[in-house]
Amino acid sequence: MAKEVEFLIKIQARGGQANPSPPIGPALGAKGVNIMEFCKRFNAQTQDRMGQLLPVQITVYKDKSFDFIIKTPPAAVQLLEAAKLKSGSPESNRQKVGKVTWDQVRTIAENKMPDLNCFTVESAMKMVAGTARSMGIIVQGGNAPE
Amino acid sequence: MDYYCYEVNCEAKDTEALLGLLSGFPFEAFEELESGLKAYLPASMHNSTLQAEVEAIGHILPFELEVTFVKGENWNEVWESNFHPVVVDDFCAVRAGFHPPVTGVAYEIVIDPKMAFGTGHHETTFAVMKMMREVDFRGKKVLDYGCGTGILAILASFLKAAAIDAVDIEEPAYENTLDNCRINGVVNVNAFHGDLGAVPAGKYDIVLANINRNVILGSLASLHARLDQGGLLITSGYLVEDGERMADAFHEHGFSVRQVARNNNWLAVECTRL
Repeated sequence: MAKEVEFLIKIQARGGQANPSPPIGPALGAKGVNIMEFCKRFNAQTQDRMGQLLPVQITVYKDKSFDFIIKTPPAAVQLLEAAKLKSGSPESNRQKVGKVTWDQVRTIAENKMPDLNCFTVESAMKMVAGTARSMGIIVQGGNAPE
Repeated sequence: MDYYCYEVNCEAKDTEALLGLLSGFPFEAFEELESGLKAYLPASMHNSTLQAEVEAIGHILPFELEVTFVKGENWNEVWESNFHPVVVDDFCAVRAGFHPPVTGVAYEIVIDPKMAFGTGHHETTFAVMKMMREVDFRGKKVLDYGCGTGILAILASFLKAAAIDAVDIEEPAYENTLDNCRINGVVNVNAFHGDLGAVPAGKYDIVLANINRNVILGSLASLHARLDQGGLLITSGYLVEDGERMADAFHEHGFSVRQVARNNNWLAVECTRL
């Protein structure tokens, strides 16, 4: 019989660097989950992705056990890297200074396909391009989807 | 450790974009909300300039920001107040101070973990303790690298090691090792806070390292230099899928693999320093 789910939490943690602090600590700790075990497992599974921001969906069961799924880095983070932008600088925070090509958008869309509710790469590209626009990144050049 | 929570509320459709824009800041982790995010920053990194730079993102994508201080506390306290003892065959038991004594074992370790790793519950700690059973610690000089609660250092002391150095980069672990040594009446463990460089120069007969793949790989040359010829290196903290890479690295750094133990998806490996 499937275990009864107590709750589900979505966090973004850096590969290899999870520690028993917020948001992991309070979210899991309050439910009686052993946070240290989560950190050990997550860090072991992400040794090849040190420091990368990774979406993690953690399911905590009534018996205090847990499972988690690590997804590919958010499209927005991949866009930032593709545009060679570093947020946090006053210029990038105020102006549309980033640019990516449609080919870069396609690469990100293909990478994110398993995590997106899209049936085709083209529709995933449109979602990624929408995120780019919201971030102030211009999509220009390359092969746009029809 | 204390944190600042930057809670950003935005339209649900903009959450992903906002996460991207915030990802370049030194936030350690994010929690996704229905329409926004909570981003956590170590208190030591919070200042008005950084907050102003975060606020400036509002020129691209509008959001509401609320910054609150989050006092550090033992988030693992609920589990720590209610865990079950671990028994490694008839060799060793690990229990908390609130448990009754465990009978029928040669050694009993009392651990009060306080946000440090190492209670014996995890496959890696359990496997290393089993390996330690087969090793002659009598009169040996031992290093527990990445000591966590100090559980392995304390067991080495019970197994009659002459002196044990224990080091951990996490301050709660260093403090906890001191506490647990006191609880167990162990007086021959010297604890240090920091990386391997925090441990005074010297050679060891045995090194115990239950950490993770990258730290162990990055430390093999130093550990080789710190071990006497014929000394033992017992490592764990990495997955079965990393086994081949670890075996190659041990060989390249002058270690000979003596024994490999698998516990679920985790490995523990015992090597001799050539």
